[in-house]
Amino acid sequence: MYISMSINNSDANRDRPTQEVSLAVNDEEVTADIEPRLKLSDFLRNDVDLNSVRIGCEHGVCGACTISVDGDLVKSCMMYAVQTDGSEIETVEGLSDDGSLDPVQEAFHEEHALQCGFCTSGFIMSTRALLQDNPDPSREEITEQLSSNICRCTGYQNIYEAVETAAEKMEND
Amino acid sequence: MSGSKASPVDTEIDEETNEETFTGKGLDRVEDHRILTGRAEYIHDITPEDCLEMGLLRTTHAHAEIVEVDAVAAEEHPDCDLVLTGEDIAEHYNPMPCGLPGISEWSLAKDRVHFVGEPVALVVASDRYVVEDLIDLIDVEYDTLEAVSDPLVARTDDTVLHEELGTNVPDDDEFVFGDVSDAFDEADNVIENQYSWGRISGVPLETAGVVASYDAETDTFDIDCNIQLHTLVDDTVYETLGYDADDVALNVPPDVGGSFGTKIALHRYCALAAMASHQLDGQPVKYVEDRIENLQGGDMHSSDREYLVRIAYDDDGTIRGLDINFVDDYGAYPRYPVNQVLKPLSVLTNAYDVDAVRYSYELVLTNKTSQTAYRGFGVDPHLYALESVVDEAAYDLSMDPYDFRWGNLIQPEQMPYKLPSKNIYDSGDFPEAQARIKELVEEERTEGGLLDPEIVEQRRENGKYRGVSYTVHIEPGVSGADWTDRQRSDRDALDDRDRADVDELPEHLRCEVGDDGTVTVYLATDSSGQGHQTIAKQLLADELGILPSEIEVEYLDSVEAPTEYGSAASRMAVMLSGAAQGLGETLADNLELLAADHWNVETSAVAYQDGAVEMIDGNDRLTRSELAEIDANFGDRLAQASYNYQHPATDVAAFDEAFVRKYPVYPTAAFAANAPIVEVDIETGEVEILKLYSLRDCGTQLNPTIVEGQAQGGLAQGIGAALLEEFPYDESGQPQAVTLFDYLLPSTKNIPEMQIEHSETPSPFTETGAKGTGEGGMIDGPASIATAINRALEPMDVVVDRIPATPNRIRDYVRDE
Amino acid sequence: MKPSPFEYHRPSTVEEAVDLLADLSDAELMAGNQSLSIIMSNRLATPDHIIDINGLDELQYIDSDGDAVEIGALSRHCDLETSEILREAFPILPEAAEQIAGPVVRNRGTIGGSIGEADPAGNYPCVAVALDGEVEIASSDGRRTIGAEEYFIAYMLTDLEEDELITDIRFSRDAFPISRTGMAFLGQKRAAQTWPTLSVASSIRVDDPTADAPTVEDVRIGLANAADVPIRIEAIEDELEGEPFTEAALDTVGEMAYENVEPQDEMHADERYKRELAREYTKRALNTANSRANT
Repeated sequence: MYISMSINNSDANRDRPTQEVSLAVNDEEVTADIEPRLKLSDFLRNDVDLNSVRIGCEHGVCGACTISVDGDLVKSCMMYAVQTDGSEIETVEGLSDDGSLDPVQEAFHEEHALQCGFCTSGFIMSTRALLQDNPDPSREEITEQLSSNICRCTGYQNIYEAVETAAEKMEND
Repeated sequence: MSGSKASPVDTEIDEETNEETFTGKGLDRVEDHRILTGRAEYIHDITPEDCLEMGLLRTTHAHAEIVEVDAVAAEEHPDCDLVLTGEDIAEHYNPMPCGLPGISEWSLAKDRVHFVGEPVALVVASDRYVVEDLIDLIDVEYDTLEAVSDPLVARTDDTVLHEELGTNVPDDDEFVFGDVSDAFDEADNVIENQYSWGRISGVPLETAGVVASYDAETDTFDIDCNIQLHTLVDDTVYETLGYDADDVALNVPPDVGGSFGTKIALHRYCALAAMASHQLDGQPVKYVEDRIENLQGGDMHSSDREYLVRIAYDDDGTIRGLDINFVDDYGAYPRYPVNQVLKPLSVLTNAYDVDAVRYSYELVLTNKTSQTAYRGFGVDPHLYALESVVDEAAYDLSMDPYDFRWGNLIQPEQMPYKLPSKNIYDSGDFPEAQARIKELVEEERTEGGLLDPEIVEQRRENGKYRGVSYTVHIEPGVSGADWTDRQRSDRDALDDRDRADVDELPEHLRCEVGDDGTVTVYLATDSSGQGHQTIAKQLLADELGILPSEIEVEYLDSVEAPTEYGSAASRMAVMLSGAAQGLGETLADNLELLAADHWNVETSAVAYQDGAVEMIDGNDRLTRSELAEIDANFGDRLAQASYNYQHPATDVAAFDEAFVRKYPVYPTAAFAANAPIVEVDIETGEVEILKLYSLRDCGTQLNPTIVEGQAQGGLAQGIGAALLEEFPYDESGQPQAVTLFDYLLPSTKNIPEMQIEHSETPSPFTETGAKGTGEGGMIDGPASIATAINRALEPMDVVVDRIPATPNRIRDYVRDE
Repeated sequence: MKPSPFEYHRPSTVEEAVDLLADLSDAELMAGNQSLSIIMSNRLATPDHIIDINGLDELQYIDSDGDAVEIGALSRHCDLETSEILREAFPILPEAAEQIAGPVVRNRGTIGGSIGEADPAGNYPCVAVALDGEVEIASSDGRRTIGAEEYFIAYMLTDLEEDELITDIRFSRDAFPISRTGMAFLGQKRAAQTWPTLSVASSIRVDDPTADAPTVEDVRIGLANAADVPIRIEAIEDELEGEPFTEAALDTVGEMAYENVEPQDEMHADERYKRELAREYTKRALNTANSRANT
């Protein structure tokens, strides 16, 4: 079921042209009047209040803004919100409506796979996508998939552990 | 006092939380849940109502006079809320405090720009997109000047950056410990070499951010910022604004997306956002640094050194003396961490027993962005240069570097060991560590292992050279504060200084008991991923005999908190544990007083026990929530406590010599023995770390999970520094790495499997036996990786003399062999 | 890092797209946006109009018949990477695709975008130059086809006019019979998501893989980031063709690669070093291609 949320930020846009977009974000319908140049990452953070979408580089390297658009992982700093009209978007907020953790989040906690946490949303999204396609990934496959994300704190050792723990949890579910 | 013996540690984590004590257990972090669910509030997420956004116009010139800033088009634009230039702020505010006297640095360049990325104007509007539109409307006319980007050229003063200073070398010093001349004259051999350490930095995933609000009624400022050491460096903000400390509250969010020392120098951003809000009658102003700003001109690069090192040694491999000289390129302004050039004195000879050491530095200014602190605080290049020259000496004697090192190690019976530079290593068995790491790697020499001789030979025939080195490194922990202003002191007077003049900063901790019995503890430090909230809960739960879940952790802003050092220099494990112990006792005493008063008995008739106060005769008991209620009726005096934990070295007379002379005081010596196994492709120069073995000892581990995380993360940064990361500048002062396509952060593809073992040699100087270990692998990783490359390329007589060891540089070594 | 304002257009057919290109001044095509977004964020490009071609479903295909493989310009790197058709008929394309940036970038970036951007370090451009790829281009005036070697003119300058759109990249299969051909794409990429320092695309066709010392019939060698455009070194191809493949010949052509490239100094890779990489990677890529041709 869609809950409708309407955003009007035309005040901020003054006389610059805007376009209406309508999309589903974490199963909520969102319509908004936006400038075409608005990055998807900024739109999700500032207009839809989804702070899990973290901005670390805005040039597609760090992966902190990684989300799912129509089932594909994308770096949301490299898309404009206007492109997602009619799309379905999923962010970390959509994984845990009631505050409980999904298996990937749980595994990251248990394996101490986060320190400052700024990269964590991106890693969770990447890990979920990996495990959806490949429930029992090898270390090499984890290396490849997670090479789109940078973590500056953990040295990745515990992230590998977390991915493997998450895979086990999901298998047992 | 004798060095305590190391005991091996079972790294398996005990998940039970209902045991008697929590400290020392791998208690799960309390920080995680909000982060994992996207609910953590980092500075980027804080946007008060009516908040405006600020952006900065940054110069693209490395060195130029500002002729004119024409901001009329921007100011007249209907979307523009404010433009300020260097001239504007000079009218109302002060220059930013520098790390050395004699230089004025304005938060917006006033007459001259000194590095690419230096802010020239600020613009405020409704959102960042509009701000950047307006920045494009500002025209700045420059007269370009010759830029100097090579520190060795800069020190000749042909082009002087700051005319008021008259030199590009605002600070230098020379220390001679022991009889250096004799050592070099008498030794059988002397070798000299140069080593270069490229400009690197922490590059946390979260860039700087600030939200500032001016309150016209009270004439005060509220500033939220992810600044590090907010209670220590708040002067850089309030002095710039021209206000008193009490009028400028700096507040750091509980979640900061990494700092590693780099965010110590965010005062420019704090001050500018505050000035903007001030000029706009208190409307909140937010600034978020973007990644290019951060990499190019974000005042966050760190050590950038050229070393000239001499070593004197006898034919039997005994090191007789060391002579360590270096130039450190601080960029355009000497900032707060000018004392990064001094910290290596705290580990002057690393794990070696050497009496005669000369140490000198020159701090040089160039047209580059200013240095800040980075994990290791200048020790990392020191250990790299030292271990490299040790390799050269060993090769010169045709000795196995393992044996050469072995023969010079400080022995366990020498503990505590006073360095020539007067700092003291508290405990540790370095020979055992070196032997143990070699033993761990031995299995790789068996059939099928990475160092199986047959495989090594096969690989070598294909141009792939494998090698491993065994090095022991000391991580100085728990810095004192008094020595840190040495370069701003009258150095000649230090020899006669009185011990009583030493002014250390304690660690402040306070707490209060809530109506429901919850104990809220307030940290005066800021955190950026180290798990301080978890550690504080563990420690205080043990002190108070309650559960961690009955404790909440909050943070104090810079006005509420006293001036204190905070989370830097691997301090918090030791300082927080000392403070928690004192705080627990104080709160228990206060609650006993309160109960005794309530029951109208002597305090000797009551006792605090497991979270409540009981009559010793067992007749009555008051819970924490009852005590809080009683206290509320008395005006909230006793259901709370406050404690200042004194720096542990102040109690140890042996440190007095270092204290009075303002030599770096670091009373804990965590240590690590590393053995990276590397493979070098000699045709392409590519280096792969196949596996990294590390044995680490940080004394008593307060939380082994967090210790392990710090070790792994530090080593990963060490790998980045050794092989990938660098901020080069061209001759005209243009930065070459301003994106993450060029400043290469290690990803999963660059970090090998790490096999880490821990031992525990408690510190005799600290309350819990813990030693600081926040910097760890970043300090010892680069040196150990460089020496492993040396071993791999031993057939070609290569000693890596530049960090990072890029493929191009490796080819430069091997192509003519 | 926020772009200047622009007007957004989302055509759903090539025809609409090229009409927009003809009508609008200062318009930029946007496909995967994995490079364009960066230069726009830094305001190095400030187009008045963005024509988003992600709705051009007709350009999203990978086909093969006996004569050629055809790849729609909007095919994403991940499509090439996982294409069974290409793995069989033109395996160098998946191999080149999987080495671009990281997997998340490969979900968006397109082959048309890469050819259009024409970065000399790009993976597809050097494959196209080495293997005689053809670029099909549409405008409101019609369609035309141009060989890759003529298409890349100078540093990031191509034969593509402002009102034109790349629709298709085509590779003739004539010269590359599966059973007798081996291909390899090799490069040095120092970090997962940076540009390669240098890459080599290679192909070798032999007369009879079952022979003891099969004769090399056809050789292709293309290098990326070795000059201001992707280059093919025909002298190397001539040197190896007509003889059995030998290690000695490999050393010779390695030296030829060293001599024939025209690299620029860049951070952490000076000209001399890049020549050395060209030598080494040329040898390795050809060696791999040869062993693949013979299995």
